[in-house]
Amino acid sequence: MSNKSSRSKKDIEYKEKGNVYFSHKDYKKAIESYTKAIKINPKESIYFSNRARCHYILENYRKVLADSSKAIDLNSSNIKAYIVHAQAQAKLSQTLNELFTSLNYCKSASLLAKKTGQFTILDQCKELKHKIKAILYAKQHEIREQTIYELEKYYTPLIRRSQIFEKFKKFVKHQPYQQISEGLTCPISLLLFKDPITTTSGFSYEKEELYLHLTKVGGFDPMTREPIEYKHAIKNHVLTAAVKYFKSQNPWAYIADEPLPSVEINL
Amino acid sequence: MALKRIQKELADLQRDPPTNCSAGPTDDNDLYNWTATLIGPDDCPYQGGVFFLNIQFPTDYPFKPPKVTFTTRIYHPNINANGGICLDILKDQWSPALTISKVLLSISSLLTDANPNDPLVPEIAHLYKNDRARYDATAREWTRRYAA
Repeated sequence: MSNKSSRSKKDIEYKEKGNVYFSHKDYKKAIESYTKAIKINPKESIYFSNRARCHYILENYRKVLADSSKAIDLNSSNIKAYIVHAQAQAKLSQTLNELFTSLNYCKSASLLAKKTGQFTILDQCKELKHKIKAILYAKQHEIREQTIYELEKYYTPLIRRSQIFEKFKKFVKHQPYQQISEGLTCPISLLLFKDPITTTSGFSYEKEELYLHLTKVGGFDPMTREPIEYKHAIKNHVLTAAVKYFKSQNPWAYIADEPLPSVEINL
Repeated sequence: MALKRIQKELADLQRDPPTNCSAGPTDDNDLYNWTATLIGPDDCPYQGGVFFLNIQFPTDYPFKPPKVTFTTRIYHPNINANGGICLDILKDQWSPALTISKVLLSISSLLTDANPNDPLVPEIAHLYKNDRARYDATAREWTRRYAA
């Protein structure tokens, strides 16, 4: 009995050591410590989910999946295990199925967070859910483009001379690439607004960008060159609402701030 | 910050290229260094010439203007032998709401309408004001020789 309690104490020590390494960003050492803790006590879910987080940062996504699955097996309410699992699946995202799995894990995490009232985690889950949906959207878009390309390659020589070809062309006409209307992007960052403010000249800018402009370049409106003051700029609630609506209608816009993730195609 | 904005401008330029000019990184590994080309606008002695420019983005772009220079020789009162361009928006009139696309458009209109009252090469400005025909002929000759 005493032997057992000293053993379990030892594994907690290793876990804490791992946490210290983690906070110092020495993820390899952290993994070593968590592994030692797991060897002593292979029944503790947190050791696995902590190690999964380290593997995630080191981009060993397959190992993340193994560790987080184990962590969930050991304790089905380990929220962080679900989250890291969803993130790793999304990073791998080689097939649509993997992305749907990722989305499911994310939903499980949201439910757990809601049940236990952990609202910061719930917000993180929401953010993650939107990102996964955006990747899903990008991948479906790519698959669609690829399918059209393959179809065209196959059918074009067969029907080139017939009128059907024109109809076919019309049918598979590529959608124009998603574009954000100019009014919803900051003229300085050129990206979708997050926190727009409007100056006394009537133009709106991302709050942070306008501040940088006024401190680094000068006290004038970037569009009109009229003299302006930061303290007179006001938050634009209507624009914020418009961006929110736009995002809800266009899931890809969540990643429009970043270049589209490249996704591999499996047909 | 700078890099994100440069990437965004590049994507926009590729999706919707402006007429008569193009721009992109000289080397894919260095997004801060671009090469641009400008076709001489119609109705000016640079008509039809292909001019190359070098664009260098500062690390705090767009809060500092990009450095833009001609690498193709050009006979123009506001452009010197080193390719330096005298253009207010590239100096004290810079605004972060300007983009490379807008800058190239401004340079293109500088080719059509030189500004001899703020010259970088006084001799060319003098000729521009006093003997426009000879200026036009020299500019055309240089375009044919260096930018064809």
